[in-house]
Amino acid sequence: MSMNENQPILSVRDLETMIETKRGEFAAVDGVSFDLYPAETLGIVGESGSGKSLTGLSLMRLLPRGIGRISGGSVELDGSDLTAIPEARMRKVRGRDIAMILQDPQTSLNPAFTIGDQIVEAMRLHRKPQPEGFMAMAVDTLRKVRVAAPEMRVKAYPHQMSGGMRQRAVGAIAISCQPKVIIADEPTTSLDVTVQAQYLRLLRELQEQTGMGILFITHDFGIVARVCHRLAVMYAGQVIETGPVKRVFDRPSHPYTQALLNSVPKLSGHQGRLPAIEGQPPALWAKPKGCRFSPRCPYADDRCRAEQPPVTHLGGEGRDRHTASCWRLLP
Amino acid sequence: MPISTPASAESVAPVARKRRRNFLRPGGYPALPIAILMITLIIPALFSQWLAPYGPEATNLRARLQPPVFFGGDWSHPFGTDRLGRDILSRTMHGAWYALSISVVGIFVGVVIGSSLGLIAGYFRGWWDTIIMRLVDISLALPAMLLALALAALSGPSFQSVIIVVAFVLWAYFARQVRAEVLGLRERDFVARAVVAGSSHLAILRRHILPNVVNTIVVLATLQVGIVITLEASLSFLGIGIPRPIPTWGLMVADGRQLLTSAWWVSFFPGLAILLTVLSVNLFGDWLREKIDPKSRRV
Amino acid sequence: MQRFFLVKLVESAIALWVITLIVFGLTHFSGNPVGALLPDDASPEQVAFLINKLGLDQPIHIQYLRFLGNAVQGDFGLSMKWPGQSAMDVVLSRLPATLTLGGMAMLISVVIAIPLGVASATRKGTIVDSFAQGIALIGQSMPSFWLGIILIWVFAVGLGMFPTSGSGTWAHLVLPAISIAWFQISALTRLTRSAMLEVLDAEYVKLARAKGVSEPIIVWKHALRNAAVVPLTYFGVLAGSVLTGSVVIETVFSWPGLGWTAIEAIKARDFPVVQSVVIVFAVIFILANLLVDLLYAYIDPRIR
Repeated sequence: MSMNENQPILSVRDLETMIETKRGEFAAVDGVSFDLYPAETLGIVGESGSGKSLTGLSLMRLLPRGIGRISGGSVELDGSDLTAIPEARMRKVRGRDIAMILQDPQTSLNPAFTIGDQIVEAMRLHRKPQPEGFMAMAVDTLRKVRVAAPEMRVKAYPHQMSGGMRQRAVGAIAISCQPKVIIADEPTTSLDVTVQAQYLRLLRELQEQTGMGILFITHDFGIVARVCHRLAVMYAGQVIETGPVKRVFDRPSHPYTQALLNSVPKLSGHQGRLPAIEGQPPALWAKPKGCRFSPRCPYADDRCRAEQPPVTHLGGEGRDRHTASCWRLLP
Repeated sequence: MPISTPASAESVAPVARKRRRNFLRPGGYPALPIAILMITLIIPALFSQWLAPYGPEATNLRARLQPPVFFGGDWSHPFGTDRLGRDILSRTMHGAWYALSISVVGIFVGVVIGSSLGLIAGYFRGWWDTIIMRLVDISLALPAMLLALALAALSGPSFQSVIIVVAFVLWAYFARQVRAEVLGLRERDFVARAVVAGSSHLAILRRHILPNVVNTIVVLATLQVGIVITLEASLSFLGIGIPRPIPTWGLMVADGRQLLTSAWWVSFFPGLAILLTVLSVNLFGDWLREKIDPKSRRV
Repeated sequence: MQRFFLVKLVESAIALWVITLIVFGLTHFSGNPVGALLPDDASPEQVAFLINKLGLDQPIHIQYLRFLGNAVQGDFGLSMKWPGQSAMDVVLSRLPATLTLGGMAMLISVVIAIPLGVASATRKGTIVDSFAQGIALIGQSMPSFWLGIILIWVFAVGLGMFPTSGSGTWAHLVLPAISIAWFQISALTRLTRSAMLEVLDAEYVKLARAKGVSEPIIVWKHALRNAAVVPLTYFGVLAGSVLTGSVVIETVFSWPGLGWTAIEAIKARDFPVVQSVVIVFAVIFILANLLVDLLYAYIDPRIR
């Protein structure tokens, strides 16, 4: 691996994504910044509607046409800004540099094509064939994700495989072109607990082999505790706290993170779903003027309600950097 | 006993996507224009006896093949006249009456037969279900035209044969749809309670099942009106539907076929009447379906 | 796959058998078949001869078996309107004309409707979509025989671009084929659109995008392959309505195919020919449905 271990592979700065609603156009991703380092898993945590999935789609530039668009910021991968390159070049990035695992792997496979065809399709677009041909490479890839009898499975249709097997096939498609980054958008919500654990273990093993960075989008703190190295907590389209998992769990600094973690029974607990905090996250068209969290925050004062808090550096650098956005952290 | 309608609130998904109002998209059209269109078509149909300026058979050999007004004719015959000097407007209005009444009767017969068999199949299941659904499959696999041809060849054009053909075309759709709904209803609590309470099959069917499938039947029936009108017109056009000299639209279009070079209006206006009528009942059917039963889709 | 095919084959055979029942039943229960077979001025000797010849004095099930036996061999007796030919020969000689017309109509409808439906779905809410929906709406409401007459009026009588009726050249084929295709276009467009809309929302389409697949390939390969199942199941119905349409349109354009023959035979009370047409229609229709089931299994591997 030639890349510098301490150089981020993916740098997102002030990313802003507008969403068209019947009340007008609003920023659903509202100035998001984070870095992803090699061989690292970054958890993006938030309630539904916090903009975490849209962040993932924005990185891929796969926002629903006519509804969403990137309106600002940059996404730097390998020195080029993905928000600025032409669509044809972006297509080369998708699948080759950044792969994606969608929310429901069960339905992510096309029922009309064999598993082999679906893996080969990505390879054909992004890789040069080896002497033994693409199909043999697909068999290899399936072997990497621990699919038994991969020579047979490449010829199977999705409906002929078990749920767990389909999971792995989706994983195989994702790693088939040896991407630098995988965006996994709640890949385990539709799975039961045992399969979920297996899948998470598999992802981690693949990461150890390939050194890829994983962006793990989830609403489940239990999963974050188990698979992520760092996390970024999102609220109303903004990252309000980010840092190494252990440090943030030990010393949560934003009241929102604190509230979330307080209501998680145990850090290693399985059922660490985001709990209810009093009140509702603001609607896109009704965001408060100051700190987005201020209407629900027990500590909010006039300054919080009037002005957005700046990012405060709480310690560490690079992979260890811990920041949060709250007025109370300032002297 | 509370009776919930099928496609109740639970099946109404919240509107997730932005929906632009669009005249051409099913469900997107406002009710008013449809209503106006339908009323302007139905009133002449219902009251053609009194509203039509001439009788459908009133010939006037001195006013033969008069062109419509604005095309060289005058207001005495706004749509012109045919070869026998009959007023096209009056005949078209009378034709509306026949088109609507024949489809209503035909659909009624088809609905009664189809829904009854569907109720039986869905409620009693077992052998009844197997046999009836086989028949449905076979019936759906046969084009109506076959039966129409065979019937016409034997008994000649008649009202009865048109009604039989229409009923034959429709019953299977209703049987299939009603059966599917009854299968679902049968598992519902209020039916189970009625069974436990010792109600007879007939009472359960009448009090608990039937009221719940009426909506579906009405929507489905409305969606068939256009198809039936077109079918009747086609049969009459071919001379194997409603016999002469009844002024049906199909026959009138057929009359004008030979006159295309000289008198286009003889075929044109009855055909236009079919187009507008079918268009408006189709729009109405789509609208009704959206209103009553947002989930079901036209096959 | 073999089992699936076998089941479909048996179903088709049953459907065909039901048709023979209907044809037989209609001949024998609604009115006097002798009356249908003989001219009105037939002598009592002729009637007696025919009753004997047709076996009408025998029990009903024997009559049916005889009918079925003859039907299997394609023997429905001699044509009356076209003397000297067996009814089946008359019908079979007209078959190519109908198949040509029907095939052309289906070709036109597929070539227009599938791209239109796809375009309408991928550009939902745009002018293209509205146009396609408008076409679909009007197409469903326009009676084909009237459209045929309007086409003759405008393009044959008015502009002189095509012949008004008859057959022989490609030019003869254009107007009748369009008249039949019109309704199919609207139905197919609607079906394709709704099927595509559903499929374009599917997770696997999103995944294909995430793989870097280009939009045209996503639409025409990933989405259409799955969406095609819906229009395809409709093809059985399509074949049936093309046949139905051919009866009407062949009459409008005097196209010498099965439909025109059927109407002429009915007018001439040539019942053997009508019977033959009905059976041949049914066979075509059932074969088309069988073909659809096979194609269906090919496109959607889950069926196999």
